[in-house]
Order: sequence, then C-alpha cells, then structure tokens
Amino acid sequence: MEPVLSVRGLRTHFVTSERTVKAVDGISYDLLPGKTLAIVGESGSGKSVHALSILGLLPTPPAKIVAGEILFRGEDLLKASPRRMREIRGNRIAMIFQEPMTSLNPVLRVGEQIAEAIILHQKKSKDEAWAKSVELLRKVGIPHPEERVRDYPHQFSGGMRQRAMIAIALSCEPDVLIADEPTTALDVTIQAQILELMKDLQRELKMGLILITHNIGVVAEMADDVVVMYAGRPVERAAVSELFHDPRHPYTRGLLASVPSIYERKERLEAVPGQPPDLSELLGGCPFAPRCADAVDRCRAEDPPQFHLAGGRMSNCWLSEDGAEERSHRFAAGEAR
Amino acid sequence: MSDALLKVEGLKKHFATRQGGMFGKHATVKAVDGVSFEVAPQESFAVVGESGCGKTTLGKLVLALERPTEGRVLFEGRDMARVPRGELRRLRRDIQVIFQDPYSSLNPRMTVEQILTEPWIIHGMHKDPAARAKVLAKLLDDCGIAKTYLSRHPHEFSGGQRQRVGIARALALDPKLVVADEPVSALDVSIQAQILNLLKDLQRERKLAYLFISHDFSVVRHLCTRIAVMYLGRVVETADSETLFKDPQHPYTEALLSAVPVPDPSIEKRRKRILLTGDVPSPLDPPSGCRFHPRCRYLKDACRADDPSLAEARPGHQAACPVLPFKDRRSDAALVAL
Repeated sequence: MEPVLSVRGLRTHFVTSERTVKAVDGISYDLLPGKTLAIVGESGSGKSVHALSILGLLPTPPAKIVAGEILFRGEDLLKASPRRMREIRGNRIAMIFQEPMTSLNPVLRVGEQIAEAIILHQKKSKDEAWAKSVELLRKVGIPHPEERVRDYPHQFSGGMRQRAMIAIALSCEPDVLIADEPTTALDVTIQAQILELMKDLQRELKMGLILITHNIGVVAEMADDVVVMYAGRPVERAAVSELFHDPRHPYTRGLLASVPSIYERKERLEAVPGQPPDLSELLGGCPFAPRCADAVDRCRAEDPPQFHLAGGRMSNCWLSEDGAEERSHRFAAGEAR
Repeated sequence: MSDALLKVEGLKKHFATRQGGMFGKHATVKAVDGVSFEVAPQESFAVVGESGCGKTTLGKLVLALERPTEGRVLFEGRDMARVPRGELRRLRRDIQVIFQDPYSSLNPRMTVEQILTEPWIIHGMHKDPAARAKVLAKLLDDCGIAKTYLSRHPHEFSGGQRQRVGIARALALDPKLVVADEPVSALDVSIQAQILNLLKDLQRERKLAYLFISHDFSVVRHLCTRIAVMYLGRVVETADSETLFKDPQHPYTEALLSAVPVPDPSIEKRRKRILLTGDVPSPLDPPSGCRFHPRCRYLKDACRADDPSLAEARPGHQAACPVLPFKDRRSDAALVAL
C-alpha cells in the first residue's frame, strides 16, 4: 500500500536574533491509509510543532522549516503554493485540537462552523451545507442534531464540543486526520467515547490518523505504529506491540516504566531522573544522555545517528548500534529512508 | 473506627445560583450531597471522580475553606465548623494542602525560602535561626530541592520542581493530614513518577495521612490503599484499593475502570470496554432515583424511583446501587478487571 503521507527528515527551527530553538529535528515516517501513527512525547518534545509544520500553520518567521520533505500522495507540501495549501488544509488533511473550547468560534452557531468548511471546499449551496452539518452531527453522535446544530459552542459540553470539532474535520472526508491531544481535556468516560468514535470513522473513511498524545494508555489502545519524541528528536520508531514489549531506546524504556497502570500496583515507579533540556541550550552529544542510566562517554560526546533496525524500526541511540541484530546502513539524520 | 483522624459525616454543600444567567430563576447546585467517610492516621485515602462530581468542593470542606450546608467534618473528634477561630488556626497546622497547579499556587514575588518559612512565621514556630536553618535543610533534603534554589523565585523552575516546593510548603508545619488535589495531573509522565515516588516516601517517613483527590485511577492505585468513587455529589462506592480494582460493584465504577486506557497493547486488544452513553447530568438538576440511572446498562424500574444509599457488599466494601447484588454482572466485571 502506498503511504498517504510521508515525512522525511523534517526539521523545524525557531530562529530569533538571540537564539535558535531546534523544535523539530529530523523526524521521518510513513503513514498508510486506514492506519494510526501515534506521536508520543512530553511537553516541549516537538509533537505539536511537527503537526503544524505539515499544515503550514506556523508563523514564519520565527519558525523556519530548514530541511525535509512532507509528501502528501507524492506531492511535497513544502513546495506547494499558498493557494494549493488552502485547497489541501482542512479538506484533504484536517486537524483537531486539544482545547475544543478555544478552537471553536464562540459567536458562531455550531452548524455555521461546520457549513463553513463544506462551502469552502465543496461546491455546495448554503442550504445543502446546513443539511450536511445536521447529518455530520448525527454521525458523531450528538443527540437531536437538527436542534443542536443551531446551538452556540458554550451550550455544548466538553465532549460534545470535541464531537463538533471532529464533525468539522471530517466534513470533507479527509485522507489524513491529525489529532493533537484530542482527549486530554476530557474525562475518561468521555475520552473512551471519543476514541471509539474516531476509530469507527477512521475505519469507514479509510483515513490515515496521526495521533499526538502524551498518554501512553491511549497509544496502546489506538496506535499501529509509534514515534517517540524527546527534545525535538524522534528517538524511536516501531510498531506498537514491539515498542511496548521490546523498547530499544533508554528514553522509551524510562517512559514506559514511569507510567502507573490500573492493572498492577508497583511498589515504586521507575522515574526518569532530571528533566528535559532547554532546546536552545543543547550541547553536543545525545540530548537524553544527562538523564540516561546507560549513557557511556560516547553518548555525551557524539550525537547519535538514527539507526535502522530489523522490522523497519529506528532507534536514535548509540547503544542500539551494538545491540542491533541486523544493523542496516548508518545514515545522516534527515536523509530519506 | 473511633480512632479516625478525619471523620466526615453526612456532609453537604449547596451553592445558590441562577439558571440561565443573571435574571434566570434561582437554583441550587448540590456540589456535595451527603458524603460520609473516615480516614485513619497514616492512611492514604483517595476520592476519585470525573469533573463536576464534587471532589474538589469536598476537599475545600475538609480544609474548612468552605462551610458545610449540612453535616460535619471532624478532625481528631473536633468539628471544624464549630471550633473557635484561634483553635481553627491551630488545627490548620495539622491539615495542609497540595494544589494541582504549581504555576498558580506559589507566590511569584516570593523566593523559595520565603515561601517555605512563611508558615513558621505565621504559627510562631522555629524562631531560633539556627534551629530554623536545620529544619529547613531537612525539609529541602526530604523533598529533593537543592539548597541553591532557596534564593530563587518560582518562575525559574519547571513544573516538577515547583510542585516539590508546593509539597515542601505543605509539609513545613509537620501536618498529620495532607489534602492533595490532583497534585500530579499538570505534570509530564516522567516527572509525575518522580513526584508520586516522593509522596510515597514522605508518607512513610513523616507518618502522613493523605486525602488524595484525583480523576486518575492509575495514579490512585499506585498511591492509595482505600478509595471512594464519587458521582454527582455522592459517594457511589468505597472499598480498599485492591478490592475495588478486582471486583467493582457499582456499575459506574465498573464503566470508569473499563474506560481507563492501559499502557499495554496486548491487554488493550483483549479488553472489553463499557461505553457510557451521554454526558454527566447537570448537578443543577440531578436525575431522580439513582443519579446514575440514565447512563446505567443494568437499569431496572426501581432505579428511577429509589435513591440508593451505601450498602455493604462485603466487609469494608460498600456500594450504592439498587440492583445489588447483581449476579449476571459478575462475568463482565471480571472481564473489566481481568
């Protein structure tokens, strides 16, 4: 199957006169239709900046995409004209955000906001678009959609607002949906509803889903493939079961060990000591080395490349070099696979 | 349990409001509506529930930051709402709080040293400078704060470090009970684990009791030995932690547990999820009978009329469900609990 979206060595930096912040530094992956790719990391790891880079939503300057390709069905979005990007954004590639309250316009009716996307991208009259809004609200599970379509966002609960956001995102049946922490602001029972809804709609529309989250449980539930990010870098990429059962990067291991689970009571959680580095003050060497229990001298001196391991996995760690049962070619980060 | 440190009896807190804005008709939000429980010395007791269930209001009532509409909060047998002001201040030395947001709960104009020593000034403790320095050093050490931080301000720290300062402030007075309202939910997972380990160590060393308020069952399971589940102002189930996770009795607890994602894809694949329909009803207008009945999958006619109170399911395990005991449910509950 052809990937619907391929990101190759994407680097997004924020450049100001005082300093350069390498917010995203060399992420690569392929997203297949109907599959879910989770991007996991803690705050400041570059997950959201990577997503905004794909859609061309970052203010330039200070943001600057310094390297890489974003191939949507083979077309490099970084070379696309603003006009072409407007055709794609919200139409072929749609996005939903964490805060459903701040991402809806408070002074427009929910129905108008859904219809807006339809009128913008499809040749439909106002009445047709309104009728489709009702249909979409029904589809995302809003009760009495023909009445609720006239409501304003403040009349919706948090879960309903996120459903409305999903309705807008799906109004043009996109090929790719980017969901940035879609359930973080919601209660667990509502989170379960929204994740279920996203899975159903993904199956129906054969959509590729990029799920950005810090919740390891949500990753385990939803993802087919996972990219783990740390300090702007992808530190590990693997299929979900391999990542959880055989993590290769020390940060992934630390992350998984630090998560409490309702299934077992551990006496102590294995916390990763220290805290993430300041991205503008990265020195040489692996950015995780100061917190890494396995770090050797080389880790502090030399920046590790992305090692490609068996089964299409990637690990950005010097220690994977020796441990890899099948070490493929070493390559400079940022090159195509 | 007559030796309870904290005893909450039939506690209610109602807020007067108006429905539909400034000119709407009067209405009452029953934020906490008849809650009773006990916390023993050195116990970690959790109150778990979704947003709007009243868990934060409950915490404020325990801290005597809100006056109860009805019912009592007894700390070491004394009614917090009835003790004279002077004595309340004394009592407050023994009950401290850790807040959710370490960004807004520390005064930005004070240094860490000022933040940590202010409680002693207020309560007239550790007046001798040498003794104070010693206690302060111990406190910093216990909470994992470097001495060099003392002269710095909160904005110079990350969320995890700030939360350590928040914890140190709460422990400065050597309290017997710490009310912790979502103390780790604003933190990243790797930092969250550090703070959870710290809370656990401190409890052992300083013989603390925790009233831990949270929406996160995974965190609660790690830290707490007894749990109360709240829904719309009421406790619907209470049990020791192991029992609650293995054999939940109330349909709401069961659904809530099944909704928590588990960080293991092989468990996720074979897990059964109970999806609740709809949202939590408004506490302005709670449903008749059992408050959970509109979302319950075991709904019986009786549920619409009877308002159930907590009943013993087994010793130390209570649930408020009118269809208890419910034999057919066992198979599903077992699937949820694995």
